[in-house]
Amino acid sequence: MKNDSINPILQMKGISKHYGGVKALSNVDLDLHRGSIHGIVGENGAGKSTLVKIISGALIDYEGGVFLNGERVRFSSPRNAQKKGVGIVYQELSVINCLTVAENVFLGVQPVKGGIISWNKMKEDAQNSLAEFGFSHVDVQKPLSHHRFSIKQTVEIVKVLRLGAQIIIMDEPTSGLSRDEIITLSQILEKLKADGKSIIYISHHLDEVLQFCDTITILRDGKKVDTISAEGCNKRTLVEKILGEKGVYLPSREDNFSVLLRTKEEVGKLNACLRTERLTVSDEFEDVNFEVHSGEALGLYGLVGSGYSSVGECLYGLFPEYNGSIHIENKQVNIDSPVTAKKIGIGYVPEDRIMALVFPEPIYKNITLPYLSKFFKGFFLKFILRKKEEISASQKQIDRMKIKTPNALMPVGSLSGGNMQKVSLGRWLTFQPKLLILSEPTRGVDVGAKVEIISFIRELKKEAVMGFIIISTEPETIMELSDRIMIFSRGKIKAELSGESVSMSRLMEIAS
Amino acid sequence: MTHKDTYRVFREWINRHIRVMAPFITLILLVIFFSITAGRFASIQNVTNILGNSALLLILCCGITMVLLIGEIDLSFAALMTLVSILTAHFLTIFGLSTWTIIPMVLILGALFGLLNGASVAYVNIPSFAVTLATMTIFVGVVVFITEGKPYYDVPGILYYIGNAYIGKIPVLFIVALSIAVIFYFLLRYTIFGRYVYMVGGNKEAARLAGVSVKHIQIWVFVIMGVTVAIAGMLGLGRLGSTQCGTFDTLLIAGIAAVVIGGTSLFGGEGGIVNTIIGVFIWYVLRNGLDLMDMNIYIKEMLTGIILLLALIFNLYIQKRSAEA
Repeated sequence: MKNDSINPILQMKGISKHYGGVKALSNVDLDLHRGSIHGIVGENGAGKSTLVKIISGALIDYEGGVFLNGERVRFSSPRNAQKKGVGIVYQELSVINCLTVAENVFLGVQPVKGGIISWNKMKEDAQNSLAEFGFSHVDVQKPLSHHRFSIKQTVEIVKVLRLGAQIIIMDEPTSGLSRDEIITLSQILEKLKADGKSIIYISHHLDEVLQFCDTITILRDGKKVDTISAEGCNKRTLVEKILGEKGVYLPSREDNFSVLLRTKEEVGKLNACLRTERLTVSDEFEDVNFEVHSGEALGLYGLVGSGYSSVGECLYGLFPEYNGSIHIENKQVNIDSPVTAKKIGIGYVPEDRIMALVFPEPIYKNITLPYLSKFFKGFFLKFILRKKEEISASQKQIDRMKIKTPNALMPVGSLSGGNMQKVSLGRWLTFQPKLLILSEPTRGVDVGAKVEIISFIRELKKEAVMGFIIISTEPETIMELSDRIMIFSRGKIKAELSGESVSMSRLMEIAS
Repeated sequence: MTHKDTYRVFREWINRHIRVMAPFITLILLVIFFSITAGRFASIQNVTNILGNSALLLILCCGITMVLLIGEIDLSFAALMTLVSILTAHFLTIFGLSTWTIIPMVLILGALFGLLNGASVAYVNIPSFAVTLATMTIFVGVVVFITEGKPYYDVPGILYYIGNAYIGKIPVLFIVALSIAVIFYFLLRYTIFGRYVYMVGGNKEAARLAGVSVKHIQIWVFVIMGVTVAIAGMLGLGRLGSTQCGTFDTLLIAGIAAVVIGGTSLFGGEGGIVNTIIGVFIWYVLRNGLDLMDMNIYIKEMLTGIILLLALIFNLYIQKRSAEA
C-alpha cells in the first residue's frame, strides 16, 4: 500500500501531439497519484482537451509514453481505456433523458436472468449505488429528465465506476451545477478519493479547482507551465501562470482604423440606446442592470454557462417570459419575439452560423432576409421582389465587408466560416437597427477574418449610429471591441470594467 | 464560341436547373416510352384526356407544394376536398342557396378549415403530420354525419360547365388549373411572401432569428391551402356531377406523390410550381399510358408503384451527380 502512494497510478512522459504544422502539445509530463484529485487548467486552446483525449484513448496517435501503474500502455480506443480503468465524465453528459435512472445506470449492461432483464435487481442496485453517494431519496424509476443535473452527473459517475474505473476524468463538472449542487459534488469527490479513486479535474472555474484539487497542472500554448500544490495557492497566482505575458495584454486604444475605446466619461456623453432594469430569466441570469449608448460597445463576458449569452437572446425576444424591464431610448418596451425585437430596432447576430443562415440559398437572399420588405417601395409593388435591387444592395455589403465570393448569387453554404459570419453581420447594415447584438462574432473564424471583423465593427462603432452588445467567451475579442465590459459569473453581473482597469488577467480572475 | 464552350454553358445551365430538369427528363422518357408501346397514347384525343384528368390534381398540388416548401405536410386535404364538395351540393340541394352565395361561402369555409390546421401547427406546436391526421378524421366524420351515406347529384351549373366544357380541344378545367398554377408560381417566385416560404422551409431557425414571423407564414400557407382545396372540391363536384363519402380519397396519395416526384423536397425549402406541374403530368401520363397499354389490369397498380420508385431514384441520382459535378 505504501508503495502505491509514492508511485503514481498514471504517468505521462514527454507527450507531444501535432495537428499538421500546429503543435497542440509539446513535451508534457503529468503524474496522477492514487486517491488524489489532479486539476488541469489553461485557456481555450492550451491543450487540455488534447491531453484528455490521449488519456481516455480517443486520440491514439501521439509521441511520448503513458504509464499505468508503472506499466507502459497505449490505449487503442476509449473502450480499451475504459477496460483498463480509465473512465470519463463529459460536460455534455452522455445520459439518455427519456430513460429511467435505473435504466441509465445499467445502460448496455442490464442484469439478465434467463434472457429476460431482471427489473427488480436493476432497481435495487441502482438505488444502492446512488445511495452510496448520498442520493438515497431518488426515485430510480422516474425518467432522468425529471431529475436535477447533479443526479444525472452522479448517474454518469456510477456508470463509469461500474465499468471498473480507477481513474475518472471529469470535464468541466461544475458548469451545469447550482451552488448547493456544487457542495454535493465536493462530497462525491471526497468519497471517490476515500475509495482510492484518482480524478483528473478539468475546469475553467478556478475557485472550484483550488477548492477541490490536491495538485494543479497549468498548460499554456500546449506546454506545461508548472505543476503546483493547490494548498496555499491563490487565484491570482493561478491566473498569472495560466496567462503568462498575455495577462497584462491591453487592446490598442488606437490603431490604423483610428477608433478609440472610450473612457467612462466619454461614454456618458453619448445618447442612451438601451437600458435594462432587474432583468431576470429564471435558470439563466438574474438582476441584470446595464445601459448601452449609441456608438458604444458593451461587452458581456463570462465562462460558458454563466448566463451572459442568454442576456443577448433575451433582448432579442428569445425568452419572452423574462422579468424586469427593458427600455429603448428611455421608453419601456415588451420584447416577446424576434419579430417585436426587430420592429423596435434590435438586430441580432447569433453565435451559431448554422442557425443564422439558409445554406442552399444565395448570399443575396440571406443578406436581404431581415429587412426584405424595406427594399421595395410603392403600395402594391412593395410585395413584389425586385432581384436587381436586392443584388445591388447585397453587393454593397459584400464589397464593404470584403466577403470573398465571385458574386451575390453563390449559395451561402459555399463560403468559409469567416465569410459566413460577415454575411450574418452584413445583413443588419443596409437598414441599421438602433442596437446590434453580436454573439460570439469571432468564434470559429480564421485569424485573417477575425482581424477584419474586429476592425470592421470598430469602424461601425465610430459612426455612432448603433449601440453594440458584444457577447463572447474570447477575452481578446471582448477587449478589442468593448468600451465597457460586464463580467458574468453564475448568472449575475460580478463586475464592470472599463478603460485602464481592463486586462486579461482581471477578466479571468473575476469570471472564474 | 467553340463547341466545347457551348457544351460547357449548356452543362452549367442544366446543373443550375437540375431540380426541374431531372423530373422533366423522366417525363420525356415516359412520353416516348408510351408513344411507342401504347398506340393511342399520342393522339390528340388522349392528350385532351390527360389534360382534363390532371387539372384537379394540379390545383391541389399547388397548395401541397407550398405546404411542403415550408417543411410541413397536410394529410387532410383529400378529406377536406370531399367535405367541400358535399357542402356545396348540400347548400344547393337542401338549403336551396344560389350559386353566387355558395361559392364565396365555401371558399371562406375552406380558409377557416385551413386556419384550423395552420393555427394548430403554429400556435399549439403540434407537428403538422399529427394535426392534419386528426383534422382528416374530423372532415371524414363531418362528411359521414351530413350525408348519412347518401350521394348528391345536384351541381351548380357554372361548376358543371367549368368541369366539363372545352375551348377548342382544351378542357376549360385545365385552363383554370393552369391559371391557378401561374398565380402560385408568381406568388412563390416574385413576392416577399414567397421568399419567406422558401427561407422558412430552408432553415426555420434562421428565418426566426432574422425576425421573420414564422408562425404567420405557417398560418397563411395553411389558409391558402384551405382555399385551394375549396376550389378543387367545388370544381371536382362540377366535373363528376355527383359526390358522396370518400369521392376524392385517392387524391391524398396522388397529390403528395406528384409533388414529390416533381422534385419538391419533403423537408422544405427546395422545389416549386414548375416541378409540380411536371410531377402531375408524370403521374397522369403513367396512369393513362398503362391504361392504354393493353395489359392485365391486376398488375397495373404494382407497375405504377415500381415506375414511381424508379422515377424517384432517377431524380435523386441526377441531382446528386450534378451536385458533384
